[in-house]
Amino acid sequence: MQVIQVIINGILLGGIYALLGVGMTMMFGIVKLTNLAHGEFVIIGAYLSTILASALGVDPILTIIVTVPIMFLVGMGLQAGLINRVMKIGSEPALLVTFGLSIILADAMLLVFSADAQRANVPYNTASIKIANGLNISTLDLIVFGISLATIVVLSVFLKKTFLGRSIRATSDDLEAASLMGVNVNRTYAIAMGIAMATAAIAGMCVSMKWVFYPSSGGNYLLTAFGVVVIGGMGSIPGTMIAGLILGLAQVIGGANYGQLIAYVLMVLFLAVRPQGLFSK
Amino acid sequence: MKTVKRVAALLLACLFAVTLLAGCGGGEEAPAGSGNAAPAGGTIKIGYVNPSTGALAGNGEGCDWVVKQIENYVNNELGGIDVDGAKKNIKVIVYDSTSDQQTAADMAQKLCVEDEVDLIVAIQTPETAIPVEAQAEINEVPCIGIQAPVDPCAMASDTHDWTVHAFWTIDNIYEAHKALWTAAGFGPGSGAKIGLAFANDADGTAWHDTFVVKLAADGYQVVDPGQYPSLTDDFSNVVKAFKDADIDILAGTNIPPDFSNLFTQMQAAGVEVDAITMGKCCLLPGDVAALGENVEGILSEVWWSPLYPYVSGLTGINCADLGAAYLADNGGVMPQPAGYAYASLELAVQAFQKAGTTDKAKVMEAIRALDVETIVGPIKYDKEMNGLQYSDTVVAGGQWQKNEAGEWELVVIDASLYPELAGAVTGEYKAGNATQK
Repeated sequence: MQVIQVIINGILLGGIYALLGVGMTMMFGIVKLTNLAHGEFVIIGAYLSTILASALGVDPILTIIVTVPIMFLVGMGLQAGLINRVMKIGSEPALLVTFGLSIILADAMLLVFSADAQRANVPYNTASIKIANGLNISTLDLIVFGISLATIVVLSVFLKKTFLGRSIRATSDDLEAASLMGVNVNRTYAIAMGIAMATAAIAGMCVSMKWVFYPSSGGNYLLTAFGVVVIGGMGSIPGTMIAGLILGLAQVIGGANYGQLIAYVLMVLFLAVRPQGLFSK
Repeated sequence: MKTVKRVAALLLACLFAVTLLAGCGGGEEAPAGSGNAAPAGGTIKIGYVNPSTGALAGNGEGCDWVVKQIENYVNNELGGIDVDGAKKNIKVIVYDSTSDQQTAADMAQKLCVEDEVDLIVAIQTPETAIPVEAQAEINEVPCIGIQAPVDPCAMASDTHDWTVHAFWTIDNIYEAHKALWTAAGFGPGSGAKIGLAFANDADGTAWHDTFVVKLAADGYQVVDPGQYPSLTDDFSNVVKAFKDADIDILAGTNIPPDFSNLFTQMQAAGVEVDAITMGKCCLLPGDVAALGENVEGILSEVWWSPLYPYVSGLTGINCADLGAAYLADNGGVMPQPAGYAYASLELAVQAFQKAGTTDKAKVMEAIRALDVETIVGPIKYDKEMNGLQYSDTVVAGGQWQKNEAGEWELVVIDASLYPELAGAVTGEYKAGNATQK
């Protein structure tokens, strides 16, 4: 029974890890950009959800109706107005711009929200569902896993089945060929960043319910997102899900004592043995 | 390309304007007492590494305000300090550790090497104090260590030539927590099962090693699932160990995210306890706000409060007046760490007054010989642990309860270790949301 409990907990934790990494892997795969501000985007999403939920008296999950479109538009604006311009010079300056952005955003959040610990308190954060004797599933973890899975499935279907999704994939596969076929690369990059920010908004909402966060917490989630991207493969959405599950299971199997160690050893092993990740071409 | 150039030109113009304005304003570098005619002898520089941001930022709250109070007092009211035949103003240079140990070390090095401070303060949790104390030793700068348990700071190094320390020892904090368990109905010999939650950092290890031995000696049953790295996402195995053992009490010291995550996961798994004593993370309203109603009943140590009976030997202000001044300026209760921030600068100023010089060896000698009253109580470095000269400071026991205004307050419920704090006891133990098995 204990083994089943560990596997369930690992899978549920893996869901939110995957969600944290999906926006980053999109930027890696499509825009070929290492977005070092991804962690701060997640924390902005967390603050937006916490504030809105508290102000409107609604469940934080409902706040994504507002936060996702806002973050999508901000992401598009950011890519079109700033990062696309810098990327003309090369990907390294763009990387430095995202690094600068992460510092600016973390400091701005500190000014606006103070350094106090935050958390979106929901009535079900301490509830659990009893499956069998000695086997419980945390209600919050189950909800967060469902949201993560739904986000990744919707994103996969969008990229596979829609014209816009296909044009994004085409840009990712062959930039020049896609341009010659009439795909507006700058617009595609802006949409990719918009989607990455939208997933960060959803991830942030989940983080706000599950963990305590601060303006400076972005770095931790960036590291998790890196782990997911390294293991899953840059640009692979299904890989993100599998990588999240692997990291989640590693964390739970290793326990609080050795989980982080095992997760980082796994990352190093993947970098050494299969640097392109599990699902990258 | 033209647009890029235009944007760049605009940015440069803005930068120029900001620099110009900053120059006109005098900037932050001007000492707080610069409104007065500055004494001719220059400035005494005191370095201070503060966790202004990050997970420990609660501990760093109030630092700027305290610095302003002491600078104002020394530079404006005293007119400086007599050293080396001249009156000198003090300037406290504060850098942010970002709650990161490596950054704390980097900032301390910067203070010692680039800013050439005359003295450095190592304060606010072992995560900040230990790296700062290490840099003070390396660079041979007098260091006043304070507000971090003595044991991890003493054990972090075998060389303490340039450092003294003041705070409670782990032995004392164990006694303070034991008094709280007793208040909750689980005195020594009760056989209560105590689950331990300690991170594997210097602080957690020092607490863990002492608690394990002393708990067994006092007849408690220890449930020890092992230590873990800070910022752990999943505590499944720890929660399971507590559930299997059906613990009565949860005890430990943690940074706020770790305790919050563990506590939430315990509740989700149906682990209920009769008492929780938790160090470090449950000291400040900002830290416990994230726990919501579940903070009710949590027990923690109280090492300073505006209700304490002490008077500053430097400024003559008492705890109540200092707390009232903080409240008036900042709109909130003065945090415990801010009391210690005040004491650290009191000690620094008194060390220079006693030494009468900025010669580092003589300042260090003066610090070691200090026997003074401060806002956190009397300080006399008459004890030693692993070569570190230290002074004990007081500690009482508190519990988070809702006050009449409906706000959460860490009410002092036990002062058995230091009876002189009896006047600060304003409540008694009450079972709350966090402690109802």
